[in-house]
Amino acid sequence: MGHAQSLAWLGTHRTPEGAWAYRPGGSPHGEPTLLAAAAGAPPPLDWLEETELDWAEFLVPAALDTAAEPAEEERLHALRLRALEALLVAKGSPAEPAGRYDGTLIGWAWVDGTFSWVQPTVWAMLSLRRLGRADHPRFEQALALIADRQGSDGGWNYGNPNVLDQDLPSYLYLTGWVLLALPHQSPMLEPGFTFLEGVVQTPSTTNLATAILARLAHGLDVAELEPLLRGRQHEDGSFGPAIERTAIAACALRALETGVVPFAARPLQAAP
Amino acid sequence: MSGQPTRRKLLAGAAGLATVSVGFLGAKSWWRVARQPEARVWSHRVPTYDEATLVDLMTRGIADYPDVVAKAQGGTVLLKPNLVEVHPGRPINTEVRVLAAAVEAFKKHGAKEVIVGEGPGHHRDTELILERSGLTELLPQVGSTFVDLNLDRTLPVRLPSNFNGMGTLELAQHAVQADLLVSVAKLKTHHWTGSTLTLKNLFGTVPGAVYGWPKNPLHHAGIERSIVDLYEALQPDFGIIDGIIGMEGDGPIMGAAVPSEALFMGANLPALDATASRFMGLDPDHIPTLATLGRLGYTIHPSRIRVEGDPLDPLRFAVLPHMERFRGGEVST
Repeated sequence: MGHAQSLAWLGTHRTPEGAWAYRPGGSPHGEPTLLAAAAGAPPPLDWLEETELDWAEFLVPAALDTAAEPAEEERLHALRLRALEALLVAKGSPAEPAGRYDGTLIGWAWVDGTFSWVQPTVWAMLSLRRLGRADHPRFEQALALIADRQGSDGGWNYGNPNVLDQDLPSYLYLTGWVLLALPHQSPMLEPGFTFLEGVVQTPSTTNLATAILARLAHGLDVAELEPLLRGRQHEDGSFGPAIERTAIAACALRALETGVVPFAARPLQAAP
Repeated sequence: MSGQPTRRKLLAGAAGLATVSVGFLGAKSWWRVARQPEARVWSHRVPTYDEATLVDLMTRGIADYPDVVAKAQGGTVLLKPNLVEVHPGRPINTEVRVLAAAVEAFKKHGAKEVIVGEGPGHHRDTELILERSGLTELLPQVGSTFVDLNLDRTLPVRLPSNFNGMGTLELAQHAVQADLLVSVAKLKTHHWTGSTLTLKNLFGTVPGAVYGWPKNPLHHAGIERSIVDLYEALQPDFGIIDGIIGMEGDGPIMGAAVPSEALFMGANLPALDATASRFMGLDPDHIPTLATLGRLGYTIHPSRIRVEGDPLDPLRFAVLPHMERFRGGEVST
């Protein structure tokens, strides 16, 4: 069992449009589709071109590999360009903070015009970096927001580290996503990875997969985590009938077996 | 919570609603109360999570509502618990034994299928929540399954009163299409809304895949308004409140456990929440959602609610200083 089996399972659970839903038999959605593509499944280009992806658009450049075939690469390039335009237009709105953090810092929101939250911001950061735009002012702003939202335990939750003077607990899977997006020299890494050690006591497929991706992206050992993730794979290759969960696990298996860490690949040579 | 009403804004809003409410009461209190339909709520003193006791109480409680029984028979029941995140020692979530008992009780009333469905507002890893809460093991034992409402197919649902101005909401298909929608809440205080019971619990039918984690557009449109809109749009059929161990103080996550030994249920959710709020020492007329529902003619006044079962002496759950307002008292600063 491993990456090939998880990809095979994903391959048998495409929607009629060639994309992926969150659950078998469901409607196609950007997030499971892009996670599956990042895991190495051929992306449904027609569907991606025709569909408004909303917040999942932020993940497009980070998730899509380059294609060897020039015509396909041209289409991927157009999708990356569309995503870049979308994510540079989209932004969260400032809000009066309800706790100890800075509500004026701007990242990305799930729904445009609402508050900036950690996961869409991190996805946008990964995509900007993949496009060679880590020097963009929006990336710097996002980095400041992520620093501000780091919890007292060293990790990150959905985006409120403190409410009414009460520190809130962080989540492992979101901490994994953030660490994946941070530069190697970031001072946030050490406390973040310390918090992430809790994944051994609190394993789940998503916690383990994002922890493995984050650690591999920063050249850290994953010997303790790998068997925990592999132990959760079902005989049919899936990680249960949840497509986004199987897809993120397949991303981690891809990183383990090929050395290619999805979302953390080097910037594209011909980025838009 | 950020991106949601700040404490200052919320208190200002609550004060405004309360002023309207109190003024309205002063001028038209008799009419406001008289037009609230009579409602019944069951309360029981339940010291422990003994499953046989819970199944018995719920089976008898449900039997008292023929309309609920009729919908359950041969139908699909969606139990909507309050599952947020799991932290040992903090009773954040509807206790899984209450859910298991509810599954069994509705099956005894002839339900074809009883599904547990939730869309947590912040934490996306439902696999983790199910494993750590014990639901992964328990649901197959009682012949039930879980559906993640955050990732469910959606259906557009028109908001009849449209207090939040959004007009239509995409809601989880399982919640919209269930023959019987049952809100199974935890007895908790909430630092923004006063209490979080069967009505606030309806936020979990709003899919994160559309509105995000948290479901921020609804916060921007007004939490209380959105709760009223969700209640009117979904018209849940039944409610159960797990107050065997409740949470006081900085709910919905950071509060402390209270062994309050109470179980509430009924088919009139505003009356149910009003009764449970009073039990916690809060005043429904000062909880904006309930006060608004009362003005709309839903039942929240104690004179219109017949509480059956065990007489329970009200408690006084601890609250944060700014939450004294929800008791009708002064806010200490």
